[in-house]
Amino acid sequence: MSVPTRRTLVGLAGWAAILVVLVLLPGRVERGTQEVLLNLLIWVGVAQAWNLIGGVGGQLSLGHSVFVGAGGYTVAMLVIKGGTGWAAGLLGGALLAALVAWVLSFPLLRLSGVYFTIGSSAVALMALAWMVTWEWTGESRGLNIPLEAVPDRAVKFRVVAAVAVLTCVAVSLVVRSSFGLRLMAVRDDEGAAAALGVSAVGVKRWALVLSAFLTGLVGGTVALNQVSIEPNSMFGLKWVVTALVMVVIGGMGTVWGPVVGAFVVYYLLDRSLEDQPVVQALLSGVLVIAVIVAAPGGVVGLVEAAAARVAGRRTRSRAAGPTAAKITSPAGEGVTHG
Amino acid sequence: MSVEALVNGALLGGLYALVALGLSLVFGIMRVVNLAHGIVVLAGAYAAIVVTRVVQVDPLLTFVVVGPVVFLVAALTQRLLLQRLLGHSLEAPLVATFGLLLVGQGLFTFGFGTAPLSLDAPWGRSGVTVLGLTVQAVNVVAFALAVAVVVGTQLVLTRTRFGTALRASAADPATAGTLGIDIPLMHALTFGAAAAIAALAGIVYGTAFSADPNAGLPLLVLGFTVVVMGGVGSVPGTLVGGVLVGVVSVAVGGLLGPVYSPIAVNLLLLVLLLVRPRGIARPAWLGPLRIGKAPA
Repeated sequence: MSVPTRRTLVGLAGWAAILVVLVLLPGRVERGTQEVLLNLLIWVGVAQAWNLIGGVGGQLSLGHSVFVGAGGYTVAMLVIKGGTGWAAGLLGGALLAALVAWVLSFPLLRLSGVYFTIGSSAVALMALAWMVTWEWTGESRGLNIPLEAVPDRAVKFRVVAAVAVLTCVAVSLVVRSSFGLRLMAVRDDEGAAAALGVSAVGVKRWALVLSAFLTGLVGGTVALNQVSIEPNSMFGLKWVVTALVMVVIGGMGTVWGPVVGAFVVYYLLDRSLEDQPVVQALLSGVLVIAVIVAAPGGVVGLVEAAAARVAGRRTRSRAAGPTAAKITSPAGEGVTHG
Repeated sequence: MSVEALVNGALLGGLYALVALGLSLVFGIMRVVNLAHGIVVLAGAYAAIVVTRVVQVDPLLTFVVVGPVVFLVAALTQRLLLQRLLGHSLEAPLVATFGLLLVGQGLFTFGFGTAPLSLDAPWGRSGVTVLGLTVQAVNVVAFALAVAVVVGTQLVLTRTRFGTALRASAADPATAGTLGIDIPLMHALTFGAAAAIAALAGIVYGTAFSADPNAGLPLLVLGFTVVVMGGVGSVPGTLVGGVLVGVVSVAVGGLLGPVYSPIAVNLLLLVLLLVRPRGIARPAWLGPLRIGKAPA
């Protein structure tokens, strides 16, 4: 990586400020509020990590529940059977998820577009079916992490917050790096990018591995948070389906899209419709269709368009491709939020 | 592992071929994949359940009503929603059909609950003896339907003026358009026909097994495995792929236990993608393979 620009440094400072605020939070807010915020941060992490390959890379993976599960189960297995601490477990889980992604990338990246999507969902279904029958990991009963091995509530919150911020920082650095530019070039026109010497499969592979590493890390914190895990709670397709919905609604390929999307879907939709899961599922489907038809840039795209109009700049419909938003959006906004 | 079980698996492959054929058609003509395809299969099953609740008829007969309704709904969805997204970006049709998958899942859960429901037919649970082998009647029905639909589709595509127009709009939409072929109409008809075939598959599926709102994605993956096995876009290939997947699924289920069948089928897909991404049979008229590219 080259010398960081001033914008990058300002953006990083913004994320650091957000992290400091979150780390100071436990004990200063109500228990219930902290719990809601913790779940929101987990969703930010899952959605943001998915955004790296799904939004920035344009490869709509339905396989990411495998990486959530791999991370979560590895933490549990390392703590229970390996006797390691939870921190080493988290790292192990993330590394295993990355390794799984690297291996899977060989068959899956022979496909692009919708075929990658279906191929990756085959992997997710297979992993879920396999975990239910695997004796070593407790079959459908799952695993229980001993309570004494789990960090206390405040530490757990700080870890989840740190991981969520890490995923955001990772994506904001990627979109400003030359690697990110190559990745987005492949997304926008694979043929043209390849003709200019970009290894399409190569950049997609590393984006997938990095995305899986981050997803595995979040999955590990999910396991620490749940304490008692089983195949459906860790490998269920709910993880990747919700992440996709969040990123589409928030704004694909933008740094703030997954954050906004996680807030809209988890906080506004899921929590207010807790007793009506059917309406909730229907609404998220309808919302996804409405967004892709009327505002392909998601909430962030709409806000940017409005801001540009206020600033008096001439704007054009971005229906043809969300490229412009993706390159210019990231770091600056971190400051206003922090 | 008996010969009987393997023959049953091969016949069951007819059902798999019916599930896959629409997927293959839509990709072949429009180069789009409908992520909600499995939901359309379930829609066929649920619609047949509703009809049989009103009038006591054989589930297959309900297709007279279910088929046209599903055709119409699908053709309209394609015309009003998906067609306008084709030019947008690679992700747009994908995300939209994913939204349709969620909507369908929600609607079916709302209307029928999450408990699996099945259709009753005289041929649903009985066995028949063919050439000294006892096989399940439902599998024979599935296979016979699959052969009829596959042969019919292939004949329409290759022997009629309409089929020629369809192939032209697949091979070169721009030129076909200047020759007076109504491309959006062709796409809507293809989408509708694919959905009607999927609904037929759903009726057989609901009789052989049972419909549950969350089966949409697994059915899509099953259909996709068959399509990849038989060659993307190839109509006769779907039948070949269906039979092979049926045999593998029954063989693994018999040797290792039924829970390993879906795992084996998914694994088969990954291995196929690795060693033979073009499948077994791919027709020349589709031209060079352009997986995942946006239509012009």
